[in-house]
Amino acid sequence: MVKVVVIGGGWAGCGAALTARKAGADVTILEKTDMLLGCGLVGGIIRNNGRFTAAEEAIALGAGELFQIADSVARHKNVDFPGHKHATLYDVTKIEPKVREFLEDMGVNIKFKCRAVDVRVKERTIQGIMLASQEIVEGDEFIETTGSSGPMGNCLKYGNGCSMCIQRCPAYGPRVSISKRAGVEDLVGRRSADIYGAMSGSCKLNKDTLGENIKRQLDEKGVVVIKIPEEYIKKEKLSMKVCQQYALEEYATNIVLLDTGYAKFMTPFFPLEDLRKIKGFENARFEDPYAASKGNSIRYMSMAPRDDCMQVIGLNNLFCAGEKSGPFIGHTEAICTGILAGHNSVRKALNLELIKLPRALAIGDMIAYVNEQIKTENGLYKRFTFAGSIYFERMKKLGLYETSPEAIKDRVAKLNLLGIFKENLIIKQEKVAGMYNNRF
Amino acid sequence: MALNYYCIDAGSQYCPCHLAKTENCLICSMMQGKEICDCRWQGICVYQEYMWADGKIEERKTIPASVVEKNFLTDKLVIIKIFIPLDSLVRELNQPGTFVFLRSEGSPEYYDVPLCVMDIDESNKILSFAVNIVGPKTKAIIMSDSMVLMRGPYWNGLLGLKHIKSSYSKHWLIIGRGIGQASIISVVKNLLRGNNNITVLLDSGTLKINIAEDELKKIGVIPQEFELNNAFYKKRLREIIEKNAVDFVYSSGSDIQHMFIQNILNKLSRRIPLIASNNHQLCCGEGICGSCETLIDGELIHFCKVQLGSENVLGG
Repeated sequence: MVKVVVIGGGWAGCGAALTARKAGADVTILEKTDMLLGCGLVGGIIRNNGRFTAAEEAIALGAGELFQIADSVARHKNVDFPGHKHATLYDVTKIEPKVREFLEDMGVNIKFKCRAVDVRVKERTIQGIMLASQEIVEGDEFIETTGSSGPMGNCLKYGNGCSMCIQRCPAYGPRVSISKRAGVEDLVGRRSADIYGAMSGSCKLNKDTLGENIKRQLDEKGVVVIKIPEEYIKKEKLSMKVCQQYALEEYATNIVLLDTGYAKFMTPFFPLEDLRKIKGFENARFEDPYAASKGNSIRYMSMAPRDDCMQVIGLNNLFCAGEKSGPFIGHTEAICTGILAGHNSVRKALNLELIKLPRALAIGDMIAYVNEQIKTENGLYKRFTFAGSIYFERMKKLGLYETSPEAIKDRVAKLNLLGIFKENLIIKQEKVAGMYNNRF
Repeated sequence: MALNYYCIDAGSQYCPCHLAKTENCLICSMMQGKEICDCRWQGICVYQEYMWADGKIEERKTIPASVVEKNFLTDKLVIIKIFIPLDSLVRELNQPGTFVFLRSEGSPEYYDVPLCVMDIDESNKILSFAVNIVGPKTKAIIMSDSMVLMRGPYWNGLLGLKHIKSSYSKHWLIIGRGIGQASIISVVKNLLRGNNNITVLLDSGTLKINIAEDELKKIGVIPQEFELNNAFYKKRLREIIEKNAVDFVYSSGSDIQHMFIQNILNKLSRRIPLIASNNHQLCCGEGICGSCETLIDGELIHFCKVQLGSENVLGG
């Protein structure tokens, strides 16, 4: 039996666990907190702009279940908001138990409150992951999806301090870079020559604390745009944002709210005393980060060098996905890199050739493009998402952006990749071995 | 894998300390002059504490304390009791492995002697110490009739403190020899509160007297006789460890004693943690002076601050 250990249970880790399990491996997820999905517990935006194409590609490749779960708990579909079209907003308060139940039913072993703190490495091969409890979790292949945000020291040195976000570092302990512990130096994103990282781009308000009008509009349409009084406009915040797809003029001069269960507020942070002076926000309070008056989490502090098969360069059996694998933004990007890493980890264990997704697919192109870009001079200043900014422009230019599920399915079929992530590689190999044995 | 240790002071009121100020913090990478946060997490962010305190640190103070009793057990061994005027300080001193520095009034700082807090009477705010008179510093202390100067508290007097603090309904074997017996009373009191079953072996060593015996009997623990340098007792020790279901062993005595016990434990099929008295030369207590510095697995360890498993200290 091939044993795959996934470190980090965010969207990328769930994606990796999904395909590793489908390919036939015995899969364990190590998660430091008490819930899966990481930042996906407070995000909620999928299928906007090029993310629609990527989600449909993942479905056609045979690993679309996580998108289908998100669709099933959608509060709003086909929502347009400034700079974005046809978004689906999933309900962040409902999705985690569904994903947890789905993965557990598949037979994925999820260990909560297990923080990975160190690795045991021999000749560039990881043998086991050490947990904070000193227990060693052994495996054949490892996938690091620990993300790149926090811990508190980074949020303080490069941001405004711990703002008590969903990562909950003070309660569950800081993220540890497993690739670095195994001897591979991290790549660190920058926002200027001397400042590392970037700040998360949105915070969430409790919907019940907003004015009736705003609440009703959110419930009905999923989006509310309100002009910010002149004295509270802070355009300099745009350059600070991770989410370049939302670093638009409209977001500095307007309050853009999206209904994801919470009222997702598309600005990194906002002093509550200022916010409460605006009509409809007199009683507002933050739901995530709890201290969104002062700041937000710092991200892109810990990315591993990798190849286009998602394997970490310099180690024999470590894969990576999500923000750990480059300056990606978003759940869709995390899931799409995760499903490739999970599938390839099993191929690696079985000595099969690893898959590189072709550049005729948005997912394949982005994975390769980001790798090229971060090696350029200003690469570590850039962020990448299917939903906007430079990469969405590229998608449109190359004709990768497509909103017809049938057309996307055709594209995948023409590349002979339909359902490729569904295949149980272990059973297939046993069959081949069986045939071989019978001959002798 | 890196050495797994933690700082005894992290999270206390004396953290951050001078080591943070000089970019030598034992747990925080930021305060080792690095750019990325990657710490030995102990439940708090030292960097945050330091920034919030605006770089100010709280130092341990030297306070005068009156001598209330001096009891010469032999010509080389004295029990000194002193009165501590501050309730809060008495509470801070009341945990296993606590030590302070004492010196006679009027002596310079280099007369400081690290002494284990043998016993504490919290209601009367009285601390007891056992002083073995060996040189100029200890001689000066026992000459003090009314006052001594005390600096503390320091907590790293034994290695493996977390096992003692978290133990509930376990079986402990405690071996104390010579002046090392001074540290076992507070350990036993702490373990009794956790409903643990305790077997104590006492070896008077070169002192020729068991300094912990009377106090242990008072709290209902009857110690057994033991001699480290006697083949019969060595065999008996092996039997106790192997046949009784001992969960933890606390050794308070010389490094030779620690090694002897660790060797027995290494041969067992199940792993029994050894908690050991910290025998390093403690001088400043702050991780600064370097007298307790020891090279372990390529890392310089300051044993006045570092809690490290005995298997790393003694070789597992």
